[in-house]
Amino acid sequence: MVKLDLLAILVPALPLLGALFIGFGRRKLKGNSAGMLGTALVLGAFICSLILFLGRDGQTHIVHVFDWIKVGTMDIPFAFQIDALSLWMMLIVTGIGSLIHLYSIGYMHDDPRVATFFAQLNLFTFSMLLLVMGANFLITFIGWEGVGLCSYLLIGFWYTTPEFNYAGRKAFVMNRIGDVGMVLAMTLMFYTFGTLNYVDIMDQAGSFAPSNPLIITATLLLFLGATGKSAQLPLLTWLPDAMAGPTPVSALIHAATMVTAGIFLVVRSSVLFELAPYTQDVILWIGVATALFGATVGLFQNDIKKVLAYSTVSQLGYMFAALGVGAYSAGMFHVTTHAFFKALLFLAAGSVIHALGGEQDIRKMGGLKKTTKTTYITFLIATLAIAGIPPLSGFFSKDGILASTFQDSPFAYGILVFAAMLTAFYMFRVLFLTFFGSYRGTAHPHESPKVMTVPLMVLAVLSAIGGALNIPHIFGGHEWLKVDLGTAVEGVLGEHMALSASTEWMLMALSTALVLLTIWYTWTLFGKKTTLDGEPADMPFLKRLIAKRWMLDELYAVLFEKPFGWLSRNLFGIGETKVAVPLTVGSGKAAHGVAEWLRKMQTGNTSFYLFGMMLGVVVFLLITLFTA
Amino acid sequence: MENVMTAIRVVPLEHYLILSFLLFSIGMVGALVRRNIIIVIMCLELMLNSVNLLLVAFSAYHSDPGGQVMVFFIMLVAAAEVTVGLSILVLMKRNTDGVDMNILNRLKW
Amino acid sequence: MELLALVLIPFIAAMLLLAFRPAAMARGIALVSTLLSFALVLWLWYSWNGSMVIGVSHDWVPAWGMRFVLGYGGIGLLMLILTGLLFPFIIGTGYKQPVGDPSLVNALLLFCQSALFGVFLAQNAFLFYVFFELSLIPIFFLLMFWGGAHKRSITIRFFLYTLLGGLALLFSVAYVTLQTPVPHSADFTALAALDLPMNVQVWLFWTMFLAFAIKMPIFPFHSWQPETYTMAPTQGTMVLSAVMGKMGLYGIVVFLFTIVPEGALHWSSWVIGISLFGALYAAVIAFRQNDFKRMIAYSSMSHFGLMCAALFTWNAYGISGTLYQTLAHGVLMVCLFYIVGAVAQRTGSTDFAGMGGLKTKMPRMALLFMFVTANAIALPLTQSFVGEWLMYNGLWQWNNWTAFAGVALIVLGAIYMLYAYQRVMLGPDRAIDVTDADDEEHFFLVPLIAITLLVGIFPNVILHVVDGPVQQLLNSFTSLP
Repeated sequence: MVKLDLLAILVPALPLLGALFIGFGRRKLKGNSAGMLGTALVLGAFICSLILFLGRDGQTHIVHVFDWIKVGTMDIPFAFQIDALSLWMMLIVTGIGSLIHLYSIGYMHDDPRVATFFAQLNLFTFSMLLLVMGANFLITFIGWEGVGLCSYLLIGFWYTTPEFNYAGRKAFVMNRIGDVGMVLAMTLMFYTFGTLNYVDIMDQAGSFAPSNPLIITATLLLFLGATGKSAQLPLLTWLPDAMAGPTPVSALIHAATMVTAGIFLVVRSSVLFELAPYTQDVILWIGVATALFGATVGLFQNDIKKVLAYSTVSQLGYMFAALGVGAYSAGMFHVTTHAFFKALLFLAAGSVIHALGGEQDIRKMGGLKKTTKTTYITFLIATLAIAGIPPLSGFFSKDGILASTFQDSPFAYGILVFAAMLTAFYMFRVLFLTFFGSYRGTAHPHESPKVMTVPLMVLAVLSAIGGALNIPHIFGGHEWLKVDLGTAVEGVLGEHMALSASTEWMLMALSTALVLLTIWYTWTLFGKKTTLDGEPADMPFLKRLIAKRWMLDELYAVLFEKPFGWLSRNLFGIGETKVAVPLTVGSGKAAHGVAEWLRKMQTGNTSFYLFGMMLGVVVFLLITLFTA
Repeated sequence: MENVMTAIRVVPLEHYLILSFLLFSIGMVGALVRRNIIIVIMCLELMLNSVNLLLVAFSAYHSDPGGQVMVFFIMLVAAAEVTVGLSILVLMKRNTDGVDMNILNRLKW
Repeated sequence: MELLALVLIPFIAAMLLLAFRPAAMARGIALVSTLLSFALVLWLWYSWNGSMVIGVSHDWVPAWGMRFVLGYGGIGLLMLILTGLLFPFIIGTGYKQPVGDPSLVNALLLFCQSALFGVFLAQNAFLFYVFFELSLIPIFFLLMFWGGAHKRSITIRFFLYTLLGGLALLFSVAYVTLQTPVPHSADFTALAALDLPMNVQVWLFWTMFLAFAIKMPIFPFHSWQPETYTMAPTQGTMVLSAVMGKMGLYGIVVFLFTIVPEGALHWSSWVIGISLFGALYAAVIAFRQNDFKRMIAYSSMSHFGLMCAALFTWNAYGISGTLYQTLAHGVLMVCLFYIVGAVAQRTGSTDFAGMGGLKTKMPRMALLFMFVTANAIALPLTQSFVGEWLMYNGLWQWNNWTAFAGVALIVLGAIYMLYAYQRVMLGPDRAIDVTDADDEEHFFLVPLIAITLLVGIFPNVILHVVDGPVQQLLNSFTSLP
């Protein structure tokens, strides 16, 4: 047990040490040393996680570090929960994290603030580890806010550009709107259960009847938190803007790890969500709507990172759809494979951007197949994986989600398949425009250094074979991940596939065939393009709407941003300067005015004073006379 | 002492009342309408003395020496007051070459 | 005896400064004096056994129940810690951001500290009132001599407004003292034993609450605050927001909750309503302020609104959270106003228009400011988070919907603080000549930030102090009808 405690504390402690050490020694660390140190510490955390993972025994261990908040009847320990779910997330965070750290050494090589970058990246890893390892909601919330802060800092890493700062603030504030739900859910749960420990809450939840209003409220509020962090409708517009940060940040934070925190949270509290079918429906339809939204917007974007960002939004929608139908293992499986191939896509895109000296517009790329060969091959593998071509990892995970949704709601299934076709379209559009045809830009493309391509290759292998983690029974697999997670997440082992094998085969064949058809169609459109047609002047209305991202940003600006600014200005301009202050000053002025009037009675004429005195005496005499 | 009391009681009380009312009214009207500060001070004295007269009369009629004690207090205060008043008068005369008391309204505010 | 010493140390030091006017050494002497007081406070904390301690008890004007009684319980101790901890920093501000004659400035600050210790130690309502008003006088001179634009009219407005509340308090103190059995006593213990009739408590509540509401201030008694904070010299603003505002919260606990508990219960929904409205109102206004200092002033008002609302929720989380937050808010305000002063010193004004893009020239200051911002928006593992979390729990237990309004503050707080950070630090580099934070500024801010983090990670240190007294307070409530 001592060993487990020590390792469990080491996992978040190493990146924290890295953040502190690199952060405070950032002027002393020259060249690549900051990057090396940061990478080594995250790798150390990965090794610790791996040891813990290999030594797991299917039990839930609570590692109590110290008492955090203890007042009245509230007792919130600073403790970690080590079970299959947190171990799995720890592996993803530290594993992908160390690869991306490694890649960043090359990518951020020329930046003067490279040490700051690594300090923040390590701080992010620390926060994310707290998030997944926390033994109660409040520890998770520490990480939850910590990743938000790091995301804010890293989006605005190049702080001299006002748009980047705006994007960072937007991300943080939108996350905070979700956090309102999270905080309220926690207060509600503390009020209801008297504790925030996952283990205790899940125990006690058993005594609640399904659809208890308290549970439904709590789960809806938790889901509000999840929509903020995981960029679901309606809180998604920050994620595409977050692409302002350096590309490794987009890969680590805004694709592979942080945005999956919402999914993690729902899986972690699966017992509660199982008790709230209403919330599950909400999750399913929000997930489906977001999947479709992201996929449609991805169609016409020209910035390579923006396409990937909307793709992330869309894939997160898939994961939530899976959670909505109670297929937690399918959701977590997709989290895993998505972490592989989306991190790979971003890193490869980063490699392309690096090769072209900062160019992100795919209209100015093309023909990079020859000049950046490794990048091209890895990007191709990732694209095939995300499109769901067997036997790459994306095929298995996406198919798991599709099959689970089909069971619950064929309509949702239909939309998700349609979104999958759109996914194949926009991803292959990017692939063809970037790597095929001939080069349309002016820079001199060159392949990235080894330190960047090695992580690409590792991730490519993982994207290719990652599906092996959870091979369904019809392929003769044992659904290893599902069994493993079943030891930690209630309801996972209970998910049984009611579909017959033949239906499952048919669904699989259908979606694969449709995707292949889409790819062929995309090839005919973009495959051999050497020059691009200009945008037609009169696009159809729908296309224009989609190209403008369904006007969601504009809508929010009109609905919230502008009224809020107006309110702020006018509360001050009218409420304060015209009402509150004049009222106070006015009361003083009134006293002054009365005095000004009263002093006129001091004429200086003694006779007048005497007359007043006499009048007073007479009045008092009369009063005594009549009241006596 | 006793014969003084008897002497006072010779005159009916109403006569004292009417007399002191008249004296007080003369004093008050004088103080209100006259501008010569000497006259005003004299009027004030007149008012005080009218009250004194009344106090003595009541004291004699009620056989209560308290009223006469009060008269001594009033005389004392009147003496002090006249001292202050006459000093102001003298200073006024020196400074303004007149005894019009409305000139003092320059001191207001 | 040590309690009397706590009041006397700053007083004597201030008298010495006034007598000898050692201009060059004035700050040093003041600093030593405040550090001595702080050491004494720490010793009191260390030797505290969890019960009420009465140190000094003398008759003063027995006929009116005035007695000179000094003592402290857990809640008072927390306030002593707050005052003791922050004054060395407030004095230290004078090293980098000096105003006026150092002997006089520091003497005034020390007089103020003496009075504040008196307020938090007083166990007699009249004595409390005397110190309560006494603390106002040095601040009045500080603002009158070294304030910014329109100092005369703003200072007089501030002074009269707070005096108005003070007089209402004096009236209520006199009233309740006369209700005690003969011989009258204005000791808090005697007043707490009073069982005033409900109809009296209902109106008496406002005569007391007015003083504390103006002092904090909360909406709608706030109109003196933004302008006073903005024009006051940095040290004056720090004293006002970090310590003197807390007298209001402390007063609510010792006066309203013990003397007129039923009245407080009767009005609690009103108070929570206006406090929360004021908190949201100030947070919205803070967003678009063009003046850095005024923006912080509104954010302070927003925090006070939340604290006051949580105090009236009548449960352990709300009250403990508020008391904990008094310390957190004090540290936060000292940090923020120090940074405002430091930046304004370099750019020449507190206006945002002259700032922006400073991070390139002053990366260290930007990092320090980032830490403080994290505390201001209550990120977990900073001090403010623990307080806010407890207060939200308190609000939720009182009523779900008020919790919604309260939690909205975490969004508004993030909006205005990050916008301010961006307007000060981020953006393209300005062609102005500014220097980065120097050693002295680090020496000031780093300990405060360290306290912020340490107390955020180990909040039990502070919570332990208030936990027992708050339970006692709540137990006395449960005996209410």
